[in-house]
Amino acid sequence: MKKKIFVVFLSLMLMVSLLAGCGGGGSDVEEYRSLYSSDVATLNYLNTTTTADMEIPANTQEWLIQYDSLGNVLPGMAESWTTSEDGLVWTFTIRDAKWYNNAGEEVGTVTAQDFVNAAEYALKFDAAASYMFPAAKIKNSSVGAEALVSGEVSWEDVGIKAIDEKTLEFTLEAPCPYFLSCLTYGCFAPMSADVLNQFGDWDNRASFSIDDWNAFSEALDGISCEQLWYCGAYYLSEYSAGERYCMKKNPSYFEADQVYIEALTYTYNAEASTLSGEMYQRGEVETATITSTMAKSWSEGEETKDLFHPMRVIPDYSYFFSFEFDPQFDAEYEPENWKIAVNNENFRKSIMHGMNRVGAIRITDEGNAEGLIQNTVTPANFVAADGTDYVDQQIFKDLAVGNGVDAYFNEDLAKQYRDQAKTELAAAGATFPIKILMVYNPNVADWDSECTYIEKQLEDLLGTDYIDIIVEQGPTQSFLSNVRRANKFAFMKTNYGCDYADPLTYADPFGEGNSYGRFDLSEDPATKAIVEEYYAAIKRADAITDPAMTAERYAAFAEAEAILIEHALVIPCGLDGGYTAAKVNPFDGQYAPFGVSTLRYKGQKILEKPMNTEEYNAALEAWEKARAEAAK
Amino acid sequence: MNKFSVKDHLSKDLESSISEKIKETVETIEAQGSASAGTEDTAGETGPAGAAAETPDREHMSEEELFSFAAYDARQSEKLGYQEYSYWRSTFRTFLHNRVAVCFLVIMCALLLFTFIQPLLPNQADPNKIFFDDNGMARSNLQPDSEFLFGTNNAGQDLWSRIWSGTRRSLFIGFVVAIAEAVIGITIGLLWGYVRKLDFLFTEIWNIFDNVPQTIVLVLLAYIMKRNMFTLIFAMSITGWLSMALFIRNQVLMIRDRDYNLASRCLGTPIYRIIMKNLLPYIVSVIMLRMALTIPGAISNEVFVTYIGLGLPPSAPSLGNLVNAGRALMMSPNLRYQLIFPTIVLSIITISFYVIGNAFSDSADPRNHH
Amino acid sequence: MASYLIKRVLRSFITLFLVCTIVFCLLRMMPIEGYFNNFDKMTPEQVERQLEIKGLKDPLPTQLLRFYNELLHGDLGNSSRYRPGIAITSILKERIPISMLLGTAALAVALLLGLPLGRLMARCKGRFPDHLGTVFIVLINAVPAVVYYLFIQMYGTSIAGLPLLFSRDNLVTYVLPVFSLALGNIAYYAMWLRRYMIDESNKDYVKLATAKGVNSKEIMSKQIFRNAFVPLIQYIPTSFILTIVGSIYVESLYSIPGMGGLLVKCIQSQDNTLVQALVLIYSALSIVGLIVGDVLMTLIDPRISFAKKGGAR
Repeated sequence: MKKKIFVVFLSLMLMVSLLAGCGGGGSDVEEYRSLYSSDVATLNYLNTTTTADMEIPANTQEWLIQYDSLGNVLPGMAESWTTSEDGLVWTFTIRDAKWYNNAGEEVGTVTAQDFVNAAEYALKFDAAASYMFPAAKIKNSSVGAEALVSGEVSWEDVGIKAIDEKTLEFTLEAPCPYFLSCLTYGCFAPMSADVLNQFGDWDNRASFSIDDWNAFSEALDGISCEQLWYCGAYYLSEYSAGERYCMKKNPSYFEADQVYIEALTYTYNAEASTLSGEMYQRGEVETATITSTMAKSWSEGEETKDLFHPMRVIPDYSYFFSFEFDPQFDAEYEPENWKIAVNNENFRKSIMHGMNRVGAIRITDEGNAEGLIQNTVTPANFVAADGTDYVDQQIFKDLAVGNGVDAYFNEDLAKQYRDQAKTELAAAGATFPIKILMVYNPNVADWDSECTYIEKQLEDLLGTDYIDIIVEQGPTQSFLSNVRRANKFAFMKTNYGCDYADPLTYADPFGEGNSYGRFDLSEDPATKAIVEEYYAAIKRADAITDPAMTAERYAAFAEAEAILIEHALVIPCGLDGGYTAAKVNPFDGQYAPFGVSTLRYKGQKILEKPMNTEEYNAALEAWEKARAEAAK
Repeated sequence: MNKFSVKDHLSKDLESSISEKIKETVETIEAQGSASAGTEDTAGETGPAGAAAETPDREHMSEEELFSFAAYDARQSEKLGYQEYSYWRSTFRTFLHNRVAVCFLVIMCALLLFTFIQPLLPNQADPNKIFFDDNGMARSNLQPDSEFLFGTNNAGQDLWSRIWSGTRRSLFIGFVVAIAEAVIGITIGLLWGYVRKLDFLFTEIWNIFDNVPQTIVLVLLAYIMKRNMFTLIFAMSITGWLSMALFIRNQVLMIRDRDYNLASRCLGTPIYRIIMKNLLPYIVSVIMLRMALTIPGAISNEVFVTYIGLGLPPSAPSLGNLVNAGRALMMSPNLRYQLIFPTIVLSIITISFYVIGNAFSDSADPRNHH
Repeated sequence: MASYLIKRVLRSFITLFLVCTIVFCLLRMMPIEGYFNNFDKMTPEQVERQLEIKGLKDPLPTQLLRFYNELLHGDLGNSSRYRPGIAITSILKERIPISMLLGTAALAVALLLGLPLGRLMARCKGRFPDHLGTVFIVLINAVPAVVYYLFIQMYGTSIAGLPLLFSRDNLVTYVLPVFSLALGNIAYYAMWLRRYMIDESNKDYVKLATAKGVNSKEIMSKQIFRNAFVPLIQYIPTSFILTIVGSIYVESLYSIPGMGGLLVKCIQSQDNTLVQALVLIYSALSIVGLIVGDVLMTLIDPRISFAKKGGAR
């Protein structure tokens, strides 16, 4: 009996291996294979902001402008552009480019109207990324979808127009020095009316009601790779949701000579974080996600230590600690007592100077904490004027009291502030210890350990008779809306992603009606005075719009940000780090902290062997040098 | 998922096979019962029924005259019973003959005992405590050594204390689920069996609910409700009682009107004695078996629920989230201990319950008593 | 038989109806985020409006009626978060065939390996093959599948020099997923066949056959095996359906675009409509499996008559 099974099994195996000979087979084309675990939700690039969804459009569509590897603006779909004298009208001349379908066949010509189509859909439907139009200060773009659809504000009055087939004109409400940097978001990409007509009566859109727009958009969200047209470096040749997709190089692309990788293949795997490292080692993929734990383990192995390198640090998301001024958490954590404490500047400063931020970052990124920490909310390498990085301005240097990379960590100073705060708070009627509720999202790796670290470190330093940090697990679903936006925390690490190349973007999280601690709602006169001073400073800074006065503009923003830090309304933290394994040099690719640039493979080459840490550091140095050179 | 469903089915089948066996057992006992009744007759003992049988004109007698309840006579009943045979002692003896099962019983008892005394031992860390070195760095991913017997995890927590805390939690979940299933199942089953009016209603309800796959109910409830231990216990118990209730109901129906029970009642045996001597022996063994299999089932259900992202948070260590946390490190050979330790503990528990449960069900079967 | 079947099917419909209704009502109590693609960026007014448009503000009975009306027309609604705007039926259409294929293959392998193993164990009861088989069965049941699937994938592929992931065109990549899927069922069939065969071998007809001098091999294969296999037949449809549904681990590990991973993904993306549709489908499948199993039993074993069976199984 057993023999029989064995024979059957053997013959099965044999059959299968014979069949296998037909399938598979390596191809000689330069192919970049990777795994992804966050599924692509939609191919409709006009209505999404997630990185997973933008990876495809970033490589298959072309925006008006593009960036080079050093972060300089280059012409993209627009051959050239002009600005009016007052800086309010921007006129772009569209390049003679074609649309291609998913077989790489030419199907149409890219026109100025294609850009207007995208904008009209995004604004009238209120699509996911449509907030970028008001951010770019485009005329009448902030009136809201309802006003536009009802005709209260005519579409003609919105500042986006196709003058003729090849001329696109933007009219702004006010001069906007960072206008160009807003242009690489999803809803600024073109979309042909022929594509849109497949999902409803697009030509008749003037008569659409809100409901019609919703129905139209729902249909458009379900667009397939055959229905979509492409004008970028690649076309989406194959797309099978939740399985795999493949992008192929478009040989007719206007800069095809700068596209080196012939094909990009993505395979869905729910366990990518577990498997990709192994597949990478076996040469089945060209890139892998490496957690910091894996990185440590790999660095100890002789064969694996040269396979990975630190992730490129991009100042796109900045982390900072927010104090809650309008606490809505449960009475057991004493919100009223917290209110008294948080409005005391010395209390906030005792936390700010007492917290070992490098230590906290080390929990998640042991090897690179010094490189990730930031002493300002606006990170380094984000913007620079006249060759000086924004963060290198004197005003920030004056705030430093610590030694080393952490400008604020100073145990003696923290204790001084603590003693002052103790007397002041006692006089104000606060009870000790002050309960500090820290909430973390259990879905974010290591956040709980980080909170526990901060709890231990601060309580050890400042004393448990002064503060009592309570670390609590937040909900796993809708964390932001249940915790940060609901103001159900006392002290929490928060983050904000930049939208365009201007320090103003990093002031957005602190504007009125923000959800980052609500210091605008404080009723305490001292806090109120600081907040008003801050808002006035932001207003002053944003009024400087002359392109020739960029340095002054940045200086004014730095002044405003310094108010936040000086009074410890916000404690800057740092950037996202991590590790990656990839057979490409990240510095070959297009660079900009905002928009789609870093998702693009144009300009990148597949390396013979993986980049190791030394090579990465050398490449980083070379890149920084070249960038400084270019800035001069 | 497949596996759990299989298990579910497995225990169901096991039970049906057992109930078949029990049916046979019942028949054997009955046969023996009637045999003993025969002995009674030939021995010429004078019971009321025997006396009546000898009366020729009994047809003319009224029912009261024919039948009357006898007073319970302990001495008589001892004489009629098997003095040599004690069900529980035999069960126990048969069980002890199974050396593998005894071995696992010892292992499991030791494990259970250790799980509970572990926190009381000296030098045990809090499972959520993060260890820091002198530089304020978390001592994460330390290989097992004398300080940390099972090493530390990613966050710098002691894996040894986390595993035992997790075992405690998982076993607690398992026990509570098992008890809940037993309590709900027995109550409903008794009602179902005894109250005849309810039979139709309960049968229909049972038919409806039994068709819904347990995994789906589990996933759905874990999705809808808050992520905590109560939800897990609730979701696992809500379907488990069904088969238990059916089993009890069938037993009640079957046993209630058995001749030997009628006879016992006629002999005036108190209800509790009927329950203890006639009913319990074969119901208890199956209840115990079911409960024993429920515990590993609950643990693997918990692993599954954690895998799909609906399990307990890391601050509440359980075997489920420890195994899943370890899985993420599977591809780093020097960190694989974080997967292997919790898996071994989990497997030992599951195998023990499984082997012991089966051995017990075998030895609880009177046919296997010698 | 016919009247039993009609009754049975009718009852299944009632079950399905009740399950749908309960699930529908339960899911209405979920946070409303599950209906929107970009909830975090929407204003409360927009949310209200969208809820109205989607008909989620209507009274529950109205919604339920609409749901059943759509269901009768074969419309399960559109996915709201997992893949916004795409009809759920079209998502399922792509995924069911591949799961079916793997499920069938896994069941075939399970029967092909599980039944001989069970027979071998029964024949060698108490001897080495039996002990070895028992260890295998106990291990498969005790070690979490999440763990051993991973080991099989990792070492299996590296020993055989296979790619780690599944690919539709490369048949050799079907081997490990199918084998992994089958493992649980191999253990199941082996265990129960062994048990039933041992039970059968104590029956009188076996004694009779032995007394008559029929050779023991023949008794084993012709009589005991056949009788012992009957109760297992009932389980085959269910195990087939469960393999389709229950390949969550395997499908996630090998990147197989089937049904198994879908439930996990739609739960993670909190797509209420899709969860509802999947629960409906899975329940329907399991009900069909049970009915087919019962019918198979009657067809194969003439001793079983459903007329007597009544309510309780």
